[in-house]
Amino acid sequence: MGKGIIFSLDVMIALLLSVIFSTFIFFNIDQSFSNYDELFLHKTATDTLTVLREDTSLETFSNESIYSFLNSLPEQYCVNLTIYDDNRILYNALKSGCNAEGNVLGLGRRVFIANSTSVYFGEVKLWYG
Amino acid sequence: MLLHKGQFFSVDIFLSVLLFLTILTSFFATHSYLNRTIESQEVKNDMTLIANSLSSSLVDTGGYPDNWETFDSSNINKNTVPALGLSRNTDGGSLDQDKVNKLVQLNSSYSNLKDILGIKGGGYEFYLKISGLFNLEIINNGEDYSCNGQTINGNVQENGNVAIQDCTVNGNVQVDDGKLKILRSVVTGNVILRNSDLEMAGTNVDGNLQVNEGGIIVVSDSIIDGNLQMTNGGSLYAAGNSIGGNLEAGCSTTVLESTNNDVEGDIDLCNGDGAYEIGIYPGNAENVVIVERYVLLKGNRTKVNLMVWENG
Repeated sequence: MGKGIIFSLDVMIALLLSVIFSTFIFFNIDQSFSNYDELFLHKTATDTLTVLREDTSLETFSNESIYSFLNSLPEQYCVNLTIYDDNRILYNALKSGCNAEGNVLGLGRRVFIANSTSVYFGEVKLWYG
Repeated sequence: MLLHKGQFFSVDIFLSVLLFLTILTSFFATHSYLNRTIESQEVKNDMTLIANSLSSSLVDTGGYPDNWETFDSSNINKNTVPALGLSRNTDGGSLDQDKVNKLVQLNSSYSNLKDILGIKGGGYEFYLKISGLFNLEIINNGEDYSCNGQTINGNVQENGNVAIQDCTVNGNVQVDDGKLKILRSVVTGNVILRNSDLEMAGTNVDGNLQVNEGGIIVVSDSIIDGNLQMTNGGSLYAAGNSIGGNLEAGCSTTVLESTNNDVEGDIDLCNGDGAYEIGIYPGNAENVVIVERYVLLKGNRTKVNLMVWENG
């Protein structure tokens, strides 16, 4: 009888450990895979700078044109565009309806020339709103 | 004594077998679950990598050879054109209209196009949509007339802003020099606008939707029994509508986009439908990877929407 009880406890502990181990695997398996969403958000951030550079919105600091682009991006995106002159923030535009900066998932940066000679640095941060 | 020992032994075996089967079943269930999860994730990874490299190739490069768009369509295959690209320059950011037009032509042979684009195996398909990028939000500065969940017997006629939601209008709706927002409603007559913006969604119009000197006209997921007609300017976005009559927009109207409309009559859009669709639309497919890119096309801001999906 005593032997039986010891054996049952042994099994119970083994089973408990198995369940804990299985549960751990179940809940962590998804996180072990690569998440490519951030790669696409990075592309969107880079594209934002490229398009605004190509259509001269960046170099003219066109408020209307920049906001028009930011607001036409998908509803779930929040975007913040910052233009630096050296380390000083020269211009900042936040997509309408977005508030505080969230967990930034997409980041794009590029250097551009405006006013013929001045070199500026543009940065786009993108997150889910 | 023997009987007593045998009974004890049977319970022991029974418990052991039960535990063994439980552990075995759990093991196979876990194994099966992990296999399915990994397989599904592998397929998604595969499609993601295809979508990512394809979008980069199409948007960021001009293709190889660089002048592939000058080739005769019948001579374009994976040997003559190892890489398709739509960019005007190596810096990306701007698409070449001629290359876009040629790609649309190549869509007539979808399997050949898929082959050139390098989409192979796994029953993968693709869908590419190149359309204008615009802000469809109509800023509402307050209403001069509003209706919410009511039935209006008679015409609604206003010089200014009108908002109609979840209403039935037994008559016409006419708005001049303002904005009309009409959602999930029924109009038994015509909707007539002059020099006004329109946002219409989920609405049934028994008559015509007629816009003269229009502003931004956005019509989606609506049923118009008569004609949708635009004259003298304005911009039109029409998607997912059922139109019983004709869909007409004159040459002075910019067609932002006209897609997925079921039109029983004639379609007469002087400036085209504003969007290029290539490949096969995934519909309700479960496994779809979407990549959105932003570029310029003929100086206009444009969205390139690429979907790679698993067939079946």
